[in-house]
Amino acid sequence: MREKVYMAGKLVLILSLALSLLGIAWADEESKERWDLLTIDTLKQFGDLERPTVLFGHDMHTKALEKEGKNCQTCHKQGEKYLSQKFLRFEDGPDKETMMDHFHANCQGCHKEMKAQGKESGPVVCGECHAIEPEYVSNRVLIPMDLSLHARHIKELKADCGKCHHTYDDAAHGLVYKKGTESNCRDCHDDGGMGRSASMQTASHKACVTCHMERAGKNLSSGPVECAGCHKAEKTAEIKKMARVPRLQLNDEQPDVVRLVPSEADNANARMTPVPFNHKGHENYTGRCRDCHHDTMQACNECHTVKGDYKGGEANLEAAFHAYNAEQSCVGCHNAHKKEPECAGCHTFMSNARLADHTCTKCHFEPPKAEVPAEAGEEGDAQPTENTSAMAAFDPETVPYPEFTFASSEIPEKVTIDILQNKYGPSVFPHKQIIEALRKGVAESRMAKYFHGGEDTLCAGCHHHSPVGQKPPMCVNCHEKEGRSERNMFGPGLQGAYHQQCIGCHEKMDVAMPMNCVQCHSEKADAAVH
Amino acid sequence: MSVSRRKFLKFLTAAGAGTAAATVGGKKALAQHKHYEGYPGAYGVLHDTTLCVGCRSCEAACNEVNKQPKPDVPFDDLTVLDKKRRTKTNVFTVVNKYEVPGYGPVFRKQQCHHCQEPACASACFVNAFTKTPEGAVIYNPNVCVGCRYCLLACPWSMPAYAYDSAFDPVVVRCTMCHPRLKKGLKPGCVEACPMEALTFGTREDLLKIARERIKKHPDRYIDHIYGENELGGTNWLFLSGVSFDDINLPMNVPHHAPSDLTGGALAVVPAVVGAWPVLLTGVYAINKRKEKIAAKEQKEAVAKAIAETEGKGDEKLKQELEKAQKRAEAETAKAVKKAVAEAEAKFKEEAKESV
Repeated sequence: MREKVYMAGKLVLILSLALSLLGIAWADEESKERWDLLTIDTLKQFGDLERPTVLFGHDMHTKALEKEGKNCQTCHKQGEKYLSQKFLRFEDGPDKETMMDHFHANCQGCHKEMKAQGKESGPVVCGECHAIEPEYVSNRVLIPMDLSLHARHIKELKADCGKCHHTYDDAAHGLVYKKGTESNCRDCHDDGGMGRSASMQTASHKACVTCHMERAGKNLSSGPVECAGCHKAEKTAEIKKMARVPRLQLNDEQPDVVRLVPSEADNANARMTPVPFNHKGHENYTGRCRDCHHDTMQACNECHTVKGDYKGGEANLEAAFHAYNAEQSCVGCHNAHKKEPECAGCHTFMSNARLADHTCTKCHFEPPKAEVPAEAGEEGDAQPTENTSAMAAFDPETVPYPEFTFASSEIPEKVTIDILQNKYGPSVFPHKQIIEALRKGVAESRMAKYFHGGEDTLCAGCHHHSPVGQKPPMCVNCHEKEGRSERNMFGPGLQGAYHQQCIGCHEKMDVAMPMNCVQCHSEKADAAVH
Repeated sequence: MSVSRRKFLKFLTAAGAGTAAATVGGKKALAQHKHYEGYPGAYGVLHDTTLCVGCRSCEAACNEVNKQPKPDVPFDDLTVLDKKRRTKTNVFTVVNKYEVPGYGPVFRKQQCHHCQEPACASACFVNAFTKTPEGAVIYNPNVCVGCRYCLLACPWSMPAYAYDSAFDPVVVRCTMCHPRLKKGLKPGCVEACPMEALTFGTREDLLKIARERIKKHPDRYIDHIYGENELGGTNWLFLSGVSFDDINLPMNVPHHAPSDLTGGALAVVPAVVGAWPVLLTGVYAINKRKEKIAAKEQKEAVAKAIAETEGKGDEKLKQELEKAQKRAEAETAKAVKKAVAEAEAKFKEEAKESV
């Protein structure tokens, strides 16, 4: 008897061990990702949930129903104009029980029916839908309506802006299109929905998917109707980009150059020379209007005042343009660009937190007065035209990149760094080759071309904190051989300075990293190499 | 000995007063415990993880300085970085690689953090750890009993234990090259770092440098110096461009020294534990002494009484003896007289006969 109990115990132990191993194997499996996951948490409005929310794969269901020859109406009721976005209803039920029964009856009902017919079907057991650890995780991306995609819509819809843009008309108690009032969708539709406006999610699906379906039905060119088309990273990457986006003319009065001035009421507080901002030039760099204009399409000075107030989120006009880390500010956006590999090699060593004093006049200057063309003058509103033509001289696109102040032949071809030698021999630095690579990078970027001014500026990338010239001070003048010193407390020693500069630049510019010391240093025969 | 009611009450009052005094003293000590700023001018090392390239030069230098056996995998083999390693008996420092999504690899050197008020020292009951004025925490293997409380106390699991040594197991950890510091040299790892990702200096200077770097490059660094306040401050400081949790430097490490915990209410424990036996022994001793004195006095009285009694008896005996002697003398004299008289009578008779 005793033996039997012992054997049974052993068996249980082995079984449980096997099961736990299996569990580990399952847990190790990578979590599956889907782009089409909707969280069903409708019951949240009635209080705390008793079970975990349900993750619903929308494309998964669309595909399964398509196989059965069923369409959207199987799950979505057809309204007067739009399909209801809710599952088999227009409005939510009055209480928790009604809603719970609604989902259980319809989801389980369909799953059971399918199963009865011997077809592949979904779960019917509670924990399979209300999973504590769901089978899938979401990798949904949001599709940005950038200027290219916007321009493609304009083209296809033959500039019928009212197809998408609308305002609420109090008299008509409905949405109407008023020319000239076009704004960003998010001006009214935010994540949660503002007042009587639908949430961005509801509004965009209502407008986009309905239109796409209609057009597809009429065999017209159309966009995606399934989740993947807009929310699966691989699919959105395939969306065609226009090579040259035609300029978006809002109200036909969008200037090429805007003087960034405070509002008229605020004008008395202005001290700086207003920046002649090349609006036209920047339209091609940013993807969307809201990259600078936030969700509204208002001018900067409508919210940001010189002294700052609540309207501009307490960001005054200075901060609106200069905040080093804000996405919408000039400096913030430029700083973000400086992190790109072409720029980061040099700029990673420079402080982004504060602009150098001498850079102010790069933006704040009085554009040269050009002669007012006679015909423009006759039209009356000559001011923008005047600035526009004058600014042409400042357009980085047309401005040639200045040459070095000294002859190319005077730039050393190679520099041998042999001041520090311990375990390795000297390092031969391909000086000119590096300058040429940097020069090429700058010439390709209009922003870099404009802000670097003379090519001498490039030298300062390595030869920093000293006058730019043909004979810059030696590194050892500041960085001491013995390492960080009291004199140069915050800077590295010589060894650190060389390695940080060279390796740091290679790393940031995605240049192949030296894999070992002898790729830069010559090997020393007599030294023991660690 | 039997304890009378009065004595028992006396004990209680004395003990109560003693404990109260100790508690009051403890509270005062707790309130007065201030943040310890560390030894002024103590050295430390600032590890800027944004500069570290994971070349393992520090590991090689550490191995050389501490005269440890060469590892199986040479130091220029960077494939070891693919696995997370930890410090061991013969490895005082390791560099680990942390892949941070959206940022890239981050290399972080691990070694003793050299706390200003070391956790290991607060857990050690034989005082094997010493915080030196130079900033290094050093260890004395001669007093270590091998309890490994220090291993548990360290939030960064830095002390390693020589499990492989059966007869002389010791706790091993980075010494911040204390002997080198004494000679005015930098720690081996700092000297070897080609990127100067390790900066050596006084802790005050290092904090200034770290703050300057964060100020200058607010978008490169997380605005936090790990070790400035962690565990009451450490002499090894860290800068990072990613969350410190991502490079295995937990942010939930308390910002007070472990000695704050052992220095407050717990500090009263030794006083209470120490005072009670002393007090009770004292009371016991006093009582014992009283009894002893009483016993002595009694003994003396008895002795005196005996002596007195003995004195009186002697006199009587003397008298008796004298009497007896006199009696004996008298009897002797009487007997002699009688014998003489008999002898005389006999002589007279003999003379009569002869006559």
